[in-house]
Amino acid sequence: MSWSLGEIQALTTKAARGAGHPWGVAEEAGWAVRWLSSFGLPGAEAMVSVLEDVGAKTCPISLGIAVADTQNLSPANGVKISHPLVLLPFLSRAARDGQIQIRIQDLVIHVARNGTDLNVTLLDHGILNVLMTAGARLRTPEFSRVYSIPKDALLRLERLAHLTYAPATEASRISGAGAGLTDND
Amino acid sequence: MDGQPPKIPLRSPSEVMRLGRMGSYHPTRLSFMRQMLRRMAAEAWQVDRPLWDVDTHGVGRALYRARGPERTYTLVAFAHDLPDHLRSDRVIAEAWDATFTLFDGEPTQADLQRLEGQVPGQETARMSGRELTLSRANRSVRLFSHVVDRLANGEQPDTRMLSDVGYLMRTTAVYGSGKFGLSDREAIADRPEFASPFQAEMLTVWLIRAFTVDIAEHLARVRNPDAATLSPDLRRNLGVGNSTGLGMAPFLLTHPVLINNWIEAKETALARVRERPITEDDLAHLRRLVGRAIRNAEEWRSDHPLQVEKIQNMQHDLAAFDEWLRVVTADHFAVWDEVWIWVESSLGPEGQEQVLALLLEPFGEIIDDLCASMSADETAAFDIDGMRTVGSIRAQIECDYRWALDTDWNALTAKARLWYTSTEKLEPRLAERAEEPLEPYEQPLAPGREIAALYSDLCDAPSDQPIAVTLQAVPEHRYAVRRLQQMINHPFGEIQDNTIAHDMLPIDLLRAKLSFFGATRFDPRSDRWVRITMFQGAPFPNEPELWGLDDWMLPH
Repeated sequence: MSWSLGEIQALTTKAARGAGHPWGVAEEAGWAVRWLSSFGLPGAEAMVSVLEDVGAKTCPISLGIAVADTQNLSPANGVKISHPLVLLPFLSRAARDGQIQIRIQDLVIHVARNGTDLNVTLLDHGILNVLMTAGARLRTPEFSRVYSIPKDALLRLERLAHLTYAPATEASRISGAGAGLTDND
Repeated sequence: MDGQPPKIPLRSPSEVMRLGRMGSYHPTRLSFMRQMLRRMAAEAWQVDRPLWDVDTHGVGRALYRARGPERTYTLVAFAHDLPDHLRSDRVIAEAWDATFTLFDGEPTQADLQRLEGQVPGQETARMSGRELTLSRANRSVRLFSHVVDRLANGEQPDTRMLSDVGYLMRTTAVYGSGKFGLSDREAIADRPEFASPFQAEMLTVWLIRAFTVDIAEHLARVRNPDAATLSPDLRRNLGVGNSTGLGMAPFLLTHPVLINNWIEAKETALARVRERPITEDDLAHLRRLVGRAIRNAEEWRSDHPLQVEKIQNMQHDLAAFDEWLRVVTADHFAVWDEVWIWVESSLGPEGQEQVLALLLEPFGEIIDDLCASMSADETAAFDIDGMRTVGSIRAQIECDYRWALDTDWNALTAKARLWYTSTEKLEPRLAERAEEPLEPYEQPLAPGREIAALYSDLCDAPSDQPIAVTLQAVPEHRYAVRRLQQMINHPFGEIQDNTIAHDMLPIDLLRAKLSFFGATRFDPRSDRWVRITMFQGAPFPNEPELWGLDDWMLPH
């Protein structure tokens, strides 16, 4: 089964909304998963776990937004969060004005086996060192047109997205879309 | 510069971005269908039909192949035998008379087998990324039977009936841009043939049009091997119908940068033409175009009272303009702006928008370059600059959203509607807020309300406070803040009207979008459902000598 990036983004946005995030935040979640998927990173899996983990002390989406909005990494410094992969797209955005630089191609990703620590440190020359749980090596994305989501993550995202759909009623079926009565003409 | 007339400003967004005005937009030479055929003519594309494998019941498959200078695209068509009781234009339909996909390249037998398992299912399909669009069409039962009957009798169909309906089949959806696993637009956007918006969709529809005639002629031949074929003139008068509901309406709200670029291109084209000196030849050309527009208005049928009134208003306006044009000569004017000033002061919105389209028509060489500015990198304006100050945000709202601030959002009439998505095939729908408990499912499609709410919450905040601070405290405002950021340098991105008001007409949104496609014969079936015609009058794939004439949108 292949998926487009647009679908992955739209599904994640709806799932985030279904999980209770405001629309503007849900859009960030969708964008982040698209970004990760375009690098071949398992963004959907990480994000759906974040969305389901409603009791988490620090939400990586909110933290990512704070970092990206202010172009300031300090809120993320030393913070312990689950699924730190979700933070990566926002860190990349914080780098947009060159205040911080992420060298995607040269970035070495260390895998923390215990899986929950993220340590963001600014090194000399503005190069960012990111420690995170995912084992993938970042590469420059080339548009492949075929992206996959593991079945489990897909079903969990769809379950959350489904919460944004209104149950159909006979009244809404008839009036809500406003079609005519017959199309055999 | 000496002697240079002052640059004429564009019409104001507060005028052209009102729903009432958008519901009067007309297609122009910048419309996407026109762009596509001009390009195909200039690049000498070749179109053929390498496969026609359809049985005596009209069931089978066909391929239409379009070969450009660098790449080939193939419309894969599946013809079905659909019982009448299953024929529905709604997205909740589950079967169609024909289903289609546009394949990137030439499909192998294995591709065709795979596609046969997916394409007929439409929304249940999982496409591969080698496909660019997914579509389906239903017959116009009345005209289709009439044409098959007549051709089988060796006769041509009734001209009047053909012109009244305007198409043999109507598409009920043309999906692209990554839906159901189709290729993302980003994957093909760097190809020159897809640089403009919706070019893959337009190519799909144009090739479907050829199929609609081929299948009718095929079924006539089944009944009589010596059946007639449609005469080229009659055939050219057939477009492809399209039946569209609310699914298309939110697009204008969810793609503000793209919409800005479409409308800014059109408004810039008008401003450029207004600066041009008038010649007697130009005036004569315009008089002929007005005559054709008058005929077009006569052939434009609708039973919907709102549309009937609009057509009547336009006919009245065109008659007045025609009369005025008969008594003026080029000596009366220096530049076209003087004509436009008369149009604005003498005609209603329907007449103004129709004349605008006519005025652009002769001036391709000074406006067609604007086509290149009609797409958008929509990701560019996504990032929020959190360091923007509250004072800057407030000033932008006060300047550009006065209409939203002046709306009483607590009034029941102001928030009477809500947009939601139904579980059934994810169909977008509109509800009366007071009558159905659907608020938890409301889609963010009322930017005016969200931005007014943000403004109200910012009243007491210090002017120099970064907006990021507000957003951390109230993340609900993130949608509005992003939207404001997207509107910077995009003055035509926002519809300056309440999109959840009790009297809002979704068909106004539909008409604005469809006009940029190049759709004609706008015919509402309700306040939220419409039928249109695409490519009516246009040359067919096997008439390449006519593609470049680029003069088919109005009847001759």
